[in-house]
Amino acid sequence: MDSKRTRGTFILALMGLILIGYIWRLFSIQVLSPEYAKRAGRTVIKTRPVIPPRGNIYNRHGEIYVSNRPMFNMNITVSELSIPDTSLLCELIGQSKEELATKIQEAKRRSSYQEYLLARNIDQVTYGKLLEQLIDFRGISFSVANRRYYNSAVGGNVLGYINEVSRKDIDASEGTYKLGDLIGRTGIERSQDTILRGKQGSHKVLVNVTGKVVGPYAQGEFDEDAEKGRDIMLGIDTELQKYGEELMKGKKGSIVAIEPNSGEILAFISSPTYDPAELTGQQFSENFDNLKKDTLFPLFNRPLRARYPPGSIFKIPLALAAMQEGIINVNTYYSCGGGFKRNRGKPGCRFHAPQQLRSAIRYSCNSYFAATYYDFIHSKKYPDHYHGYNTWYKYMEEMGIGSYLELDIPYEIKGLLPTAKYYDGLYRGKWNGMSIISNSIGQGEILMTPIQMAHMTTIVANRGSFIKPHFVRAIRSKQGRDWIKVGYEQESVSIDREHFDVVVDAMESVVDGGTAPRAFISDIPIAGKTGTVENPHGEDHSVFIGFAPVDQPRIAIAVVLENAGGGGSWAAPTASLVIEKFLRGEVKEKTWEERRIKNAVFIK
Amino acid sequence: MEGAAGRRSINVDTLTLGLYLLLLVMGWLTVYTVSSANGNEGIFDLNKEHGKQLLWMGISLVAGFIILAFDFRLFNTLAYVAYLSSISLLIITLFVGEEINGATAWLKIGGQQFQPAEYAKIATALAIARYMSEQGFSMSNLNQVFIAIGIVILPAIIVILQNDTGSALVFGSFIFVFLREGMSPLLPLIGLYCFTIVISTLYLTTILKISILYIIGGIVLVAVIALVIVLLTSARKRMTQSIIIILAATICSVGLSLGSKTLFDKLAIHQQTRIKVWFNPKEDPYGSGYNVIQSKIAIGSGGIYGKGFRNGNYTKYRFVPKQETDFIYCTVGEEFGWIGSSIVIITFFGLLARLQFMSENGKMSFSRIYGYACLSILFFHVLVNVGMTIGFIPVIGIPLPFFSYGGSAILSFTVLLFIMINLYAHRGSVLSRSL
Repeated sequence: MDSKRTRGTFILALMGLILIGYIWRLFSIQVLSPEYAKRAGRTVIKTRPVIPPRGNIYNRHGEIYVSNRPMFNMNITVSELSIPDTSLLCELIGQSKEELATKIQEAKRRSSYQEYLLARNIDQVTYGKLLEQLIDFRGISFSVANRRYYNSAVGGNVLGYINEVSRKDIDASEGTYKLGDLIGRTGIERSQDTILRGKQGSHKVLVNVTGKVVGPYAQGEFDEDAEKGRDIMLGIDTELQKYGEELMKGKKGSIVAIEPNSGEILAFISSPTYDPAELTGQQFSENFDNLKKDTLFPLFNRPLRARYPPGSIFKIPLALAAMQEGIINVNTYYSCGGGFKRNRGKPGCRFHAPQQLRSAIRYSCNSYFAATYYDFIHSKKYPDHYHGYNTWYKYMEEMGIGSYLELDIPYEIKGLLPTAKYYDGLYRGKWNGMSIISNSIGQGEILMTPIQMAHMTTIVANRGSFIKPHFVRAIRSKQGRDWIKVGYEQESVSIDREHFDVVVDAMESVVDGGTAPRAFISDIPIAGKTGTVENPHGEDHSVFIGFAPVDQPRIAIAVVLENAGGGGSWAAPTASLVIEKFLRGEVKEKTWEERRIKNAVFIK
Repeated sequence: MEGAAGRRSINVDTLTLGLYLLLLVMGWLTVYTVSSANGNEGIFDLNKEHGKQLLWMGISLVAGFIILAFDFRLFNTLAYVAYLSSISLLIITLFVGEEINGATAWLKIGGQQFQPAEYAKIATALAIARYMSEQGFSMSNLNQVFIAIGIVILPAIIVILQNDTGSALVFGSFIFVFLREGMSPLLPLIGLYCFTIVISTLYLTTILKISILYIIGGIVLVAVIALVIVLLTSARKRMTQSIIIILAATICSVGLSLGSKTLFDKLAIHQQTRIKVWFNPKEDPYGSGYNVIQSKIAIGSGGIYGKGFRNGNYTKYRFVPKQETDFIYCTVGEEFGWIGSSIVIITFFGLLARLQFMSENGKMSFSRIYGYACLSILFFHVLVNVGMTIGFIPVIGIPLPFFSYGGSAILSFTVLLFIMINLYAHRGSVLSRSL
């Protein structure tokens, strides 16, 4: 009997030992192996990105220029799906019944319990209709994504476009960009991306085994709030931009208008242009491909990237530099004789009487400036023509010619201002003022972009001082109420004001009876200079630079019209219309000129 | 006289009752946390598992107290009737039962599902207690022992035919009853030895991919070493006997090893996978290994103190299959951590120890044998169920007593236990066998 009792005790002890083994096993799983907790966390807690709304863009008057509009994506969850009326749904989302059936099949294949994207980029109106009419439908849900909305659909090449970051962007950004973020690809959207973008937040949510979200994790304790993108105010006058784009319809070319005392770009027209709204939402890829294939290159940012020989407007910086160096003064005479005689009549000219500087600018005398240029480079002041050339070069460079303006949108090019070394290469070391005499009238190797032309005009308008051209005026404070002005450096060129006064005086007379009478407006004094750029491939390019009012300039402008002919006949009146529009708010004096220009077509 | 005393003052063992209630409450809280994952269900919501479980707990308690009111002699009297009726039910189920998860183990009575195997466990415990407590029964009488074993094996076979292997294995736990009553431990030990050889062979060849030849070589090497030791140390008399035993053991081991490997290779792929998964769940992480991996993650993520009541996200959101039934212990592990899981095991052991104490301290053999049967059944459930969730034992679908959701399980464990409480309440009495 007792031995049997012992057996009983032994059996219980055996059971106890096994259970102690279990407790030890539990200890090793629960306490000694932290990887289980990590795996459980990864499976149950999902991090969902919260994409903040992108900052708005305002125009110079503080009106909304670019904002966001919600677009809706429609998702279905097959396990909950109930569609009482298939044809109604198909009609509303614009899909055929076959398409719908295929998509539901695909959704089923993925997971019946998870949301599947059925239709994307549904606008607010359709969304409203859907909510109203799909009241008996089950298993349908919507998610919101913001899309850019253009309150003024102008200036596509200024604003640029955005789309979703790619895997490559994310990898390259080292943690700045996360999946689902939007990224600016060109223009302001790109250069100001860090400001406009804000910061992606994240919500930690709990999902069940089917992947369905069942609620926030830890009451949102570990959520990171998204930081809204900050707003940006541009110097662009959207009305003026719109007006300029209308004038440029049917033409290739650029208009750049700058407020001289601030350097703010008022209008930046690249023609032909496109509607920025085309590059948002559903049709992005399709439209982008079409724009890319377009033979007129609407996506090409002409003010920034098109290079032209400047033509006669180049006489302005030459005159200024020559006066500063004492090569010429306001009273210096040169004869014309229908061409630069010292170089066997090249460059040619209309037959002018011998004249002084003012008149030479007014009538754009080629002989006069050829002589000035030659005398500059071969002046006795300098040991040789290299020194002469380099001195001239320095003045040109100061005025932004051949150099980057460090604009606040990307992909700027610097045009071409050849160095002495460049000519050494071109002429195998044997060159002098005569070899490069075409530079004097802007027809040599020099190439300028429209923005550089406008910048040069700004310097003249300010009589030597300038702030580099830029788009961004102010950035909204972090709190989102006040505008914080962006500070820009005031700079100046090393040419004295008195020389500018002479040139400005002459430029005023260009409009008042000189080469650009068509730019004349009765009570707005305009100073300007025409340029007719010889084009070996076709009709000349029509160029005009100018500013107004002459004494207290509020707008400096450069206009380039490709293949339009003489500067005085097309670019000059176009500029004057933009000036009038900006200064008066409307064009009332030269409505006939407005009609003439709007109707002109130079694209063959 | 004793009967009258038993009826008037309820001499119930409060410790057992306390441990039982403690397990019941812990079990219900665990079911509640799983079935109230959405957070807006009422406690008595009968559409939810926790509400139904509460109802069944009530029914079980009522049944338990009714059992306490019975005359203790009744169990002895009705033991065979119960046994025969349970066998009949099992057979009926075999033909008209509901099939759930591949097993035809359920009867549907008035919309309520009922598992006759649960009832058969109790009935078998009663029958074996009666048969082995009969005067004249002796463990040395082989005929009687075979009949006793037959009483246990018969329901097990029918349950296997129902394709409910898990429940059938429970009957194996009666081995403890036989051991306690004087069965030689040699047979079980030999069984354990063979089992170890088979398992080791399979583990080494399938998981570690060691050639069977090395294993046989290893067995022979051990045999040679044993022979050398015997030759050097044994007295001459016993030497021959020892050598024979060693040689026999070696031949048996090699045969078993080779045999099990050959048999394994002949199994269907899915059966092979099942065995491999037991050794290493990562062999099939999304198939049959999935449960075990998920279960270990859930338990492991609890840490020392657990995530707190109703914070067990991993189990709450049902990453572990069969969360509220077979894998309920995962929720304990996740929400109450190592401390809580250990407390549950210790509480179970407390109940087992108390049952063992009660069995040994009554005067009736019937009560002792029934007590051991009861404690063996409970132990086996805990052993297999918990062992499965922590990856010790292959996935076998049997419930964790008082924890797993399911009305018939909770009722049958209660009845099983309360019969023993009743018997122990009359521990001073001796059953008279006169008709």
